[in-house]
Amino acid sequence: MTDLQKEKIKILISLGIGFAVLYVILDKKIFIYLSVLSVFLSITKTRVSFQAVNYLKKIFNFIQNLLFGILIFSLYFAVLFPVSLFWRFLNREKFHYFFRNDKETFLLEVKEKINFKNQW
Amino acid sequence: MKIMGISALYHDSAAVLIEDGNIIAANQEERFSRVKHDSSFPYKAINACLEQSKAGIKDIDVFVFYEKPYSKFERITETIYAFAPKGFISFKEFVKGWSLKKFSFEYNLKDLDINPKAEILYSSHHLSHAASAFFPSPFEESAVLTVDGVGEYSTTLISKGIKNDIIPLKEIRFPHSIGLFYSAFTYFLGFKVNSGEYKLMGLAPYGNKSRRKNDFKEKIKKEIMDIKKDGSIFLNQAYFEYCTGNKMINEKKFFNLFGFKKRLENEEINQEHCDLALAVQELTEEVMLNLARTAKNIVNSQNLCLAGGVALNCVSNSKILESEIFKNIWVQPAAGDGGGALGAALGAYHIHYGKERKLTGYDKMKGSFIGVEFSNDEIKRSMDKFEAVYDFIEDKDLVNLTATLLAQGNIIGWFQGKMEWGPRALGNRSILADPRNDDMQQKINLKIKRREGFRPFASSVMEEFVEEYFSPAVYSPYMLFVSYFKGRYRNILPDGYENIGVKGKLEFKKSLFPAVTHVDFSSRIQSVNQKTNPLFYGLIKEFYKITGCPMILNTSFNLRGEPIVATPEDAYRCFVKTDMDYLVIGNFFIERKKQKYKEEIDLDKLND
Repeated sequence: MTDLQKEKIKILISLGIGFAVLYVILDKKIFIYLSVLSVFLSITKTRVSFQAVNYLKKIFNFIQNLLFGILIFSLYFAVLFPVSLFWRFLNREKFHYFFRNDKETFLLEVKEKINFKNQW
Repeated sequence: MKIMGISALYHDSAAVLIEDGNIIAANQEERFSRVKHDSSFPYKAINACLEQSKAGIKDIDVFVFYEKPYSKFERITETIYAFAPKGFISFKEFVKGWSLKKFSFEYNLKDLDINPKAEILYSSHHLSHAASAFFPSPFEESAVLTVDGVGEYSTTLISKGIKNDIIPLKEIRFPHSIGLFYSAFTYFLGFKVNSGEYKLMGLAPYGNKSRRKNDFKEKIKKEIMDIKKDGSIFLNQAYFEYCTGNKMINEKKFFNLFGFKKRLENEEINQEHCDLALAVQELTEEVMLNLARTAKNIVNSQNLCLAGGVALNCVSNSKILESEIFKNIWVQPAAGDGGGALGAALGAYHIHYGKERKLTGYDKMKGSFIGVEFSNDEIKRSMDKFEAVYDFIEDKDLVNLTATLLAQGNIIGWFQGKMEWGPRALGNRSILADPRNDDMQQKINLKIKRREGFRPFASSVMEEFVEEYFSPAVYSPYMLFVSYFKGRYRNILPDGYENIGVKGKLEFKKSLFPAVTHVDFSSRIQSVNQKTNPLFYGLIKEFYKITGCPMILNTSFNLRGEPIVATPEDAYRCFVKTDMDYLVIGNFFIERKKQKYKEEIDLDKLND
């Protein structure tokens, strides 16, 4: 088996698993059909062209990006944005440092002591 | 005690090995991965440092990362809070980009099979820069000024360095950053952020000291950047998008303010671009001078150490030097993030472990020649692999033959000894030529390096001749200052010089050394002495004997968009791909005309 064929099979099996996961999350039968199709194509090995593999991969990536976008969007507007309002209220000085040009200097005293032990 | 400092995961990854406070090896990952400004974890650079020192990974007692990842994460989160709900795009990119590798230095070290007893430490970004500037410097005490885009929170830090300690005193915090300001205009003028900043600096002298330039400055001061008396700045975030989007600036607002659109990468450069570049450069110099004065007032020292990406702005460094605010200035040659690896290691040694700092009266950078080197045997093996046609030249003839060929107008790739640390080629990985040649600047820019024609070249000058040719006479071993050709070497400018445009200014021969003279008669100089690089000094001296000219044109051995060559293989590939006439690599002399690859480059073979 050539490296190219091995690569095809690897991608198809990954797609099969990926679509199966999407089926579990979204409960849409189309994903289980796509999963079976991917696994089936991986078994047929050489007969499937890279074009077909790429086509399947594109569908998967599109769905994955869409879901990722929705997740991030929800997280940002449902969680982070409300939290940010509290943060602004509790850290007014820091917040004003970003936007308000109302000081004679933007040089600040360094308060943190040097340490090499921690990551903060 | 062996300490390895590492900088990685943002840009310019690097590894540095020090032993008992002495710098043993320092390498940037880009030189080996061949990806310019490579940000990946520097496994190759680590290996190179270990090979150089003949040590194993288990021999390393301490690993130090150059910044604090959690603190940086905290700053990014706070920025998201401050700008919400505007920063959705930035948040999405942030979530996509952050992984365990970016959070955990230990996680990256897992692949290296380090000694389980080895200690793992974290410096902070600007402390690393400050340590890279102060500890290798020749000063016992000094003001230390570090200025760059951003680290954890700081964008600028003023510290006091004394013996084996650094005391951070004042800082400017994100988002107000002179480094990001400069990068924003680099982007607006069509160059790449984090790599094109020196192009903006090179473009600035083409600007006219005109009303338009003054208008640009006024507009920037009024709308974009408020410069305070102490050098601190306020950046009006309405004009920037580095906090909220995936680009530097709000292009619409910039267009409305300056009256022209963002220049595209391959678009022609016109006078308004140059005038804006000059305005930005002058404002940056103003900020740096104010910061230097503040550092002087706070620390009250005769000495200044500089580091951080902005310290690579040699024009601004020279303004500070000329101002005589400080008697002595020392700049870390790898002032960018790569240099943070060195600072992290030295900082841990002197500050964390409290080890004494020994002063010798000289800096500890060894001329910045602390990278990898190759023996003649290794070079021969590499050249044989490429079926290169070469002659072996004895040491005594090497310099004489090279100098003669330079004097005849040839362009020579010069690959010798240890690789330079930092972005400047200082005579070990250099392309060399005769600076007196009228066409040399255009020839090297367009045919050899394939880069923008306006970009100037540096001059490597025998140290004892600097005063005769340049004013002010600066000591600049690391090419981090500019100076100006004295009047007797300059040509008289024609009437209406300011109005002849970029091309006209470029074509006009400014001095007796046109290939290394910029439009304002300045030259980025490297003062070369016999002690730090005897071979390179010997070459210039031989060239002087033949021609009476004590300087040569020196530019980095690379093509546009590629890192400087590190290995003999890189050097040969670069040589074959360009129109260089000769390659002198160790004691091997390679003539272009004799190479089999002259007409058709067998890239597959060359890329083995």
